Amino acid sequence: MPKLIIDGLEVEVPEGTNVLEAAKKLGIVIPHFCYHSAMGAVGACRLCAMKFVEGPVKGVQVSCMIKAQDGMVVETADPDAMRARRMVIEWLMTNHPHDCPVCDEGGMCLLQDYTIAGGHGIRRYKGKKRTYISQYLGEFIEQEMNRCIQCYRCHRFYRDYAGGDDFGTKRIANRTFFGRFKDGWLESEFAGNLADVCPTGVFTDKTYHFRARAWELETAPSVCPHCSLGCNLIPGAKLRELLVIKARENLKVNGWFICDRGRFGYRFASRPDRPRKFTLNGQEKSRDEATKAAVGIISDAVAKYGPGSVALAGSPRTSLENNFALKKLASLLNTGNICFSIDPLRDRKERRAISLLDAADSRSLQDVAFSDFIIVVGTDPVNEAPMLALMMRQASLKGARTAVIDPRPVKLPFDFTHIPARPEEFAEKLTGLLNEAAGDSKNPLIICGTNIPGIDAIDACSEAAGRLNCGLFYTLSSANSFGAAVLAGEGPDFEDILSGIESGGIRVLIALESDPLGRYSGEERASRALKKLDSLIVMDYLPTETVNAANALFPTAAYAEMDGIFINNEGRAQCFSRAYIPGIPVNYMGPKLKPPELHPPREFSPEVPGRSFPAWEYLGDIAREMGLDCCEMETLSAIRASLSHDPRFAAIAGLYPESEGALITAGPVDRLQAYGPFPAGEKPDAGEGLKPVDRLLLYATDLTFGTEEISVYSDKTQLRAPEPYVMINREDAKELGLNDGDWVKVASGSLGISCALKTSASCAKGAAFAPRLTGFDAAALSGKTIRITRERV
Amino acid sequence: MFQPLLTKNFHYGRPASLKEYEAAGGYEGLRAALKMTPDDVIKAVIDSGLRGRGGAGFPTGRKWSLTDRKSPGQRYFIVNADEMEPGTFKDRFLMERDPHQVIEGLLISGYATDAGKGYIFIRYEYTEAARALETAVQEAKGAGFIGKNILGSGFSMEISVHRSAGRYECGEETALMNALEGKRANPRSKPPYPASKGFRMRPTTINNAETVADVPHIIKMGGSAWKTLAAYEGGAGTKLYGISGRVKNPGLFELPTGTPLKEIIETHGGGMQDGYSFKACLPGGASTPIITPNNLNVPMDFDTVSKIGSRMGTGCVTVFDDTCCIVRAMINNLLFFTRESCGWCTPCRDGLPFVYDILQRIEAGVAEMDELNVLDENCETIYSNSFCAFAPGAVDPVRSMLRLFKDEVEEHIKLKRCPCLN
Repeated sequence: MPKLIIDGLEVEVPEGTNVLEAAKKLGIVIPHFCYHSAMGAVGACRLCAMKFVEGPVKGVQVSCMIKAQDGMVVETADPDAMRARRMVIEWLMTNHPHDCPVCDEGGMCLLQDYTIAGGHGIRRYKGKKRTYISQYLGEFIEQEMNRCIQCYRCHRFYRDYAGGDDFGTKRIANRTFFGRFKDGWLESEFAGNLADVCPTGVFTDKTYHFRARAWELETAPSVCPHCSLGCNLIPGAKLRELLVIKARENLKVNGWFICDRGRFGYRFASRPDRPRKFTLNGQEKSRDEATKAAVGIISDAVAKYGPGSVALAGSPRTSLENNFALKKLASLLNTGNICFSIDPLRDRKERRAISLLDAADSRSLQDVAFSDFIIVVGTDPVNEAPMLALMMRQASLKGARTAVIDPRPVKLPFDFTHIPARPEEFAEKLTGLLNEAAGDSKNPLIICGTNIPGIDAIDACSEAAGRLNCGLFYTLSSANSFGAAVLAGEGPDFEDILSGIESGGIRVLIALESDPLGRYSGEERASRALKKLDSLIVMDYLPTETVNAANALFPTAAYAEMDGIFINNEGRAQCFSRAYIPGIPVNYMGPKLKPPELHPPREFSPEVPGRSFPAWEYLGDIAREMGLDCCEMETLSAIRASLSHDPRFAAIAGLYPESEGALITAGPVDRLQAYGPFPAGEKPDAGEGLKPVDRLLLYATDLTFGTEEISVYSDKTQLRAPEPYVMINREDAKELGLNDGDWVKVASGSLGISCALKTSASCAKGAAFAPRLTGFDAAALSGKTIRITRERV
Repeated sequence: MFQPLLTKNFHYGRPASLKEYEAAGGYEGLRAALKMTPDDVIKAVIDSGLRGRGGAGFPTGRKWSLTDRKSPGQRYFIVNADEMEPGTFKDRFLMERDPHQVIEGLLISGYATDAGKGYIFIRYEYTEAARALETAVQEAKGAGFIGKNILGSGFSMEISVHRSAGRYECGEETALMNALEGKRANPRSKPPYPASKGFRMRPTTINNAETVADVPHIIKMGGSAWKTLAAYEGGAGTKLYGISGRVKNPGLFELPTGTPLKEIIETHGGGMQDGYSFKACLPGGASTPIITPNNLNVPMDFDTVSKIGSRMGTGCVTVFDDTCCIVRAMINNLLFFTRESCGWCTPCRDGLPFVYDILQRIEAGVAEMDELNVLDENCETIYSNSFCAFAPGAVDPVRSMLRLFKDEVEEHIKLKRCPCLN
């Protein structure tokens, strides 16, 4: 650990730290543009000059390029160093337009800050400014190249860090251009980070364009709700409208970056059709009236049919506290009919997976970047947990080898070996691969999905990890899948509740931020069953099908609008805080009026129009109104205190926002059922007499854009959702006499969907894949044998 | 009587064939070298005192001995023939007239540094030279000088001629390697040095085409004997000197290293054209500081020219006559450098256009006197704060102008016009 003196202050830093970072550690921030903690030092901007007085290096040097060494004495305020910094800023400003008043970056612009810090004030350059023609880069990122100061961060992030190849540096000298070969959407799933890494206003968030100034934003440390990884975010809102998401640094999880789903999926929160009113059978009610009505519904059912007639469905996308309050209510009502996911297949697999994780083999998202041998079993990182792909790329850049056992033609932003195999072959292929290759690696890691793999593969991964001292990393479905699964414990799943409804035993369903009508894989069955209910009580912030069918509706607060905890796939509990008070955005009151029914009341009132609250408050209200002992669900701290009595959740007691999170170990929580990849009774028949291609097995898959439950309500991310398709192996297609692009009918029994056919050479034979897109009922066919025939149009 | 070495086959006026080259003693150096150990070859080059002819003058033998020859795996030797320095044309003649000499030099250099693969990285515009080299490589391959087990020595080497996509910055050795790898021609930060991690992150040695062409003669004559060919005590061997500008006999001459600048201009260049007198010169390309008449007796070698505040550079002298406005000359220089900057670091990319702009304002007669301070501050900060040697080279002549021609520059500002225009 070298020790050096900077501005008379001694500092000790780890070996390999550069002098710029060492100074930062002392609180001395020297302006720098090209250096970025994630992407390292390249010495391009030449701004971070310091004077090296003593030690192995002498003179004015750029400090990012010099590693701290013993005996160094460095002056940051030396006149020569300051002149160098001032000149660099002056050069950068020769071409930079003075358009700060209309620049989205204004107020959060490093160039603004460092121009002041660098001491450049009066323009001495009298020549013309160089100008560019900017490109259209899609609806996520706006480019204004005239502002560019050529720090190369965008190139280094996009190409080097994220592995994109459709964006880069063009031309030379002060005509250097950063863009695509021609106009068009940036293809990388991480392109949004350009808005964060760009120190000035070249790349800005287009969805936030001209909506607010940085200082007007209400922000808070938060956690992404769009997949199970739990990347850290800063949501920014103005006048009750969520407007922008920025990445927040967490060196145990996402590092510095987030994916585009996390960044641009936020627009669900300000949809005009978002539920904002308490309603009872379509009639607007006050919060009190709604609570009383719900209490009436529940009390009636309990009185008439007993406590077992009330069922509660929690959700893996809502906070731990909401789910816990729901569980508390269930136990107060004395009903055992509670589940925390409406996808029973996934639920069972996730409960299994998390019960297999323990502190010894569990790995954080950052640990992935330090693995040297990665085996991926049945998960498609870019599509199911995008940031995982980025971390795997960092491992790959350090020399890690990666093999993916998956039937889909998986794409990753680096070189890897793809082993196309069907889920039933996963365990066997994994063993084969481990025997072959894991021997010499020091930090091997097994990554396993919970969508396509069956219980056997999930078990096999855990077994192999334990045997070979490997890391283990399961990808789950949602932000709080882990927490929901722990709470679910050995309780029933949605299959049981559905049966209860069908048999008439369950008469009331409370759906907490879950959408059985829209997201249950057998939609018809769910809608038939839910029609049999006496009452459906729904608490949600998304305009889901279930919300539309609700008898009593409670509009809830979304993640950025409340305090809460998500537990990510690793078991890391992370706090998020309220960024703003939810209500109808003031924007809707402006001259460009949205639908008139959304216009907030014109009379003045201390109430926030359309105010919604976290669901746990409503659940507490119901408990109190029913005269139950609700002291453990009165306040958030009471809920957390009560939660932390459970030894598994003890770690959340010390949790605070902006911490690195606390690890939860689930212990055995699954029902240990013998359970294959198919729901009982739906195993594919052997298909006597049928050719293999006439009984392909269909899997519903997830995509980065267009399938995730929350972001499908964001208009911007939906722009990147593809048209529906079904994908099969090229040879299978040939045998069926079909070609890529053919319009086909995919049928199983009475179910059928029409879509385009995609073929791929690297897709496993005998399998078919269709994304769970909205309005495309792929999920209903999931796990079924299908026939694909050309459809004449 | 001085016997030319590098230029002895130039009289054909076209690329010397393998036969012609061998008839004049070609490939004897290679035969001799292959009988020596690589260490002895390096020692001979160290003894010769040969210094890099690309402009920086780094001792070649020392460079070779720094190459990591121990680690297993591929090693590379690259000939830098990306001769893009304005006013410089020595490598061009070498490759267009006697390509085998470069190839033989590369083979010996490769043998000394244990490189199994050689590249000749040639300037985009040098199509004729590239064709000559490509033909010569084929000839040499046919004769068994290139390939596996060369002349039964057990040493194998392949050679490729790589035509640059064109850019001045490709001449910087690490930028050249990036370009060769198919990347942008931006310089790399050092360390790691090419000697340990160069082309494709393997140990790589890189030398100028003229440097490499000197090697066969050093091996044939012996290092110490070659050294004595110089014109003065401290010099070593012979050097290609070029001269351009309003002299009677512009061209390329092989002369003993350290021949005085005056002799090059007046004897070999034939002196100034009638009606013109000598005003100043750039001794070795557009990135070398100006030399004025009172320093013309300087021997043209690295150390001697450095002593008078300039650099020998490539040794190709650009002469300015008395009608030439020094500010205009620098504008012309800066136009080139401003355009050719690779765009990597700020001082070069955005600083040079600033310098260019001020020079233009001075020439146009619209500059104020205090802009000279801005110009000076720009030049000094660019000089000391850029990533590679490109930008210091670009502003060095301007700095020397501010030192040596201050009156002329100030006259522009006072008269509000260029005094050289009547």
